[in-house]
Amino acid sequence: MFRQVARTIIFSVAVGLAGTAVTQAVRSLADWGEPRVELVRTRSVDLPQPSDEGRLRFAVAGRVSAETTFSGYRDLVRMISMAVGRDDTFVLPPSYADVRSALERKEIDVALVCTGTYLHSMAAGRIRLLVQPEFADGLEYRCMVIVPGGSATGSLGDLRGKTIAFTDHESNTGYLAPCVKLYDLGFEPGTFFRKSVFTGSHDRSIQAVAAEIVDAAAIDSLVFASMRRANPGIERRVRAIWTSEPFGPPPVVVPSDIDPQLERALRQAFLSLHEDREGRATLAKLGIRRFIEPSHERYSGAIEMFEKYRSRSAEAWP
Amino acid sequence: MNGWSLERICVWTGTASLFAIFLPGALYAIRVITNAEDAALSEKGRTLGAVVAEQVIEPMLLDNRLALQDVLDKVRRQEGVRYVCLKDSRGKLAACASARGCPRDLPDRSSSADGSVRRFRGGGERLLDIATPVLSGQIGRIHIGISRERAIRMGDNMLWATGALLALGMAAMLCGVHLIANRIARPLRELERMVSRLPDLPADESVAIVGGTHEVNALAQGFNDMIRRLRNLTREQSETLDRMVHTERLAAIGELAAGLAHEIHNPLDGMLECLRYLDTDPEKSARAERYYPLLRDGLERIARTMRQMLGFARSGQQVQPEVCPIGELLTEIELMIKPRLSGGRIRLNVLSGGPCACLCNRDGLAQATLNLVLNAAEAAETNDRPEVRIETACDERWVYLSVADNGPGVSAELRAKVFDAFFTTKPTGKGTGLGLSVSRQIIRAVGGDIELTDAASPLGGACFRIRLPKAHS
Repeated sequence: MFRQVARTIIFSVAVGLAGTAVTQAVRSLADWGEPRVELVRTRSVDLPQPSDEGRLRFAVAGRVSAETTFSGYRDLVRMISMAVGRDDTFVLPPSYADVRSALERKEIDVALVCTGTYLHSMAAGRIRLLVQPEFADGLEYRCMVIVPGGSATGSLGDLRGKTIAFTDHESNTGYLAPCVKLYDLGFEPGTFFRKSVFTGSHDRSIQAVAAEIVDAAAIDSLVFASMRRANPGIERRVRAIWTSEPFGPPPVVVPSDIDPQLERALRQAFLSLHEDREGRATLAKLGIRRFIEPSHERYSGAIEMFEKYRSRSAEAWP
Repeated sequence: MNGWSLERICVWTGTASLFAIFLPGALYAIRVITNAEDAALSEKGRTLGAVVAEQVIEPMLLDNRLALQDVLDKVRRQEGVRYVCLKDSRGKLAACASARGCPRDLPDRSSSADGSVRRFRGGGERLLDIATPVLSGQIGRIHIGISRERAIRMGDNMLWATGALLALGMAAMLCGVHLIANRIARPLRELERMVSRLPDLPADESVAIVGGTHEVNALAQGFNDMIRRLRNLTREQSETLDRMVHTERLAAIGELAAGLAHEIHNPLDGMLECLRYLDTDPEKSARAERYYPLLRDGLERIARTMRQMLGFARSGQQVQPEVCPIGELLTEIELMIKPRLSGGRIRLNVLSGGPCACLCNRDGLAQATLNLVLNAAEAAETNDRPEVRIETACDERWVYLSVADNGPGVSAELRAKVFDAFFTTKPTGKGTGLGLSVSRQIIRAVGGDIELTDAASPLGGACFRIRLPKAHS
């Protein structure tokens, strides 16, 4: 009896182990096809930077947030690059000054910039107009100072001791225009407001006002019009207390010593973009009707304002 | 498997069945568990990937590597996450946060918006790589590597558990086989051993019922029944053989008796005729007058014996039955019988049951009835007031003739033998034992029968009843 029981137990355990071993072997066989990949310790600083050699380096100044800028201008960048026969490198410098510096250092081949950036670059003379956009409402745009819809603020003068959102130090409508206006009103922009914040993009400034995070913001009328089309309810949450005179459109610029052949190709690409359906659709997404030959005269008002600003401001804003 | 014992077949079949169930079952269970775990890990990876993809857009677009690395590091610290790496739109590694490194050359499978999941081995463990596109893949992909070791461990645990189940199943199966061996195989072997000795199996030995299953017990019982029937058949065969021998002996004796009777009967008739003639002499002497009756009785007894033997010899011959009114038969029989009864001491009653006719051999019926009456008269002589009754009756099919006496009757042990040839209870020389046997054969030859009735005789002794087919006009 004891031997029978012992034999049963030993045989059962042996079979159990055998079954387990066979199953494990089958599992291992099934897992045999799993690829083996080497893991490599890499420091981010050691990661090779992608080479832009032979590619069209196209920058867009961040008038709206980076993601919105990228999504909105991706097709335009791609189409222009294809037109000139190059792969594209879409560059989004963090500030208008970074765009200008990259252009002046020839780290960028072409850029869509703010008017203010062009104004700041004129002194160095290392940036040249390529084309100008014609928007759906024309060739001009304005600065707007907006406040929350329920605010009691009625004019720029009512903003004394309040907080204001600017976009960028080199932005025409997002900084220069309201500062010059304050100068005209006899105020010192550096001490007029309780606090100034730089949002980096007009859409963030508008959102800050709509959310009543700030008391006011200086914004681009074109960006506001675009936001209003996308979100009609924004009009109930903000209202303009001041609108500037019109300025020339934010241009497309190139380094002054760009390869002439490339310059011609780029100009031609921009000027002919509206001639096919895909191009028109791409431009319509940006609120642009077409690109036209540039005219420096369109910026006379802005230049005058810029000169006024330079003469009045003794120090850079924090 | 031919020639294998039941136990062996059960063990191998059971083992094969357990394996056939265990292997796919275990693999399926492990697969279900690991797939469920992997699905949960994939979902976690997709969720983290979606969060990272959202957070790295601006740092990537603005080339803010510090912010980018910060996002990756935060996610990498999640439990189970081994690496978080970012590949740009050209598939090149742009940033990486890892404990043991990021995978080299793990190509993106597709550019779909949904995260693709791949399993691979790297850094000494099994990993799951979940790819999430950033801005629909336009600016790159996030790859999150999550360890699958927990899923693998769960699969291993399941494997050991099912292995233990297999061992338990095996033990249960072996116990079952042992039970089967006890309840089926061993009784069958015992059965086989006894059946193989069957021709020589002692009469008092039968197949043992050793507590097997219902079927085995039924089989053993069946064998016992078969053995019993076989023994009965053997005995019947032996008895039949004996009867055949006896019948042949009887047939031979019958032939011999017929021959003897024929040779003796004829001169005997002459002798009786001579005696009748001498008895008619008016001048016979006193001695002759005394001894002539004795001589006549002796010769008539010899004649009667010869007639019985002739009747026995002829009883197997086919006879043509005729229609006999029973009333006429009774009258003839009465006239024939009365002189034979002992000087009128025995009282003879003849009761008629009504007019009816039967199919019979008239002479044979008379002879059979005479035999029955003489036997009844002999039995009734033991009574102080001996009586013999002959009674007739009839129904739709049969005509009955009963002969009853008030003698001692027939004992139970002799009832089965009274109709056997040469069986007699009379002293030697007083009877041949052929009377009832011959009478039965005569009556059966016309489709009737003679029986010793089970019911008590109306006179208290024995009652023999002749049954004859009724003649329908």
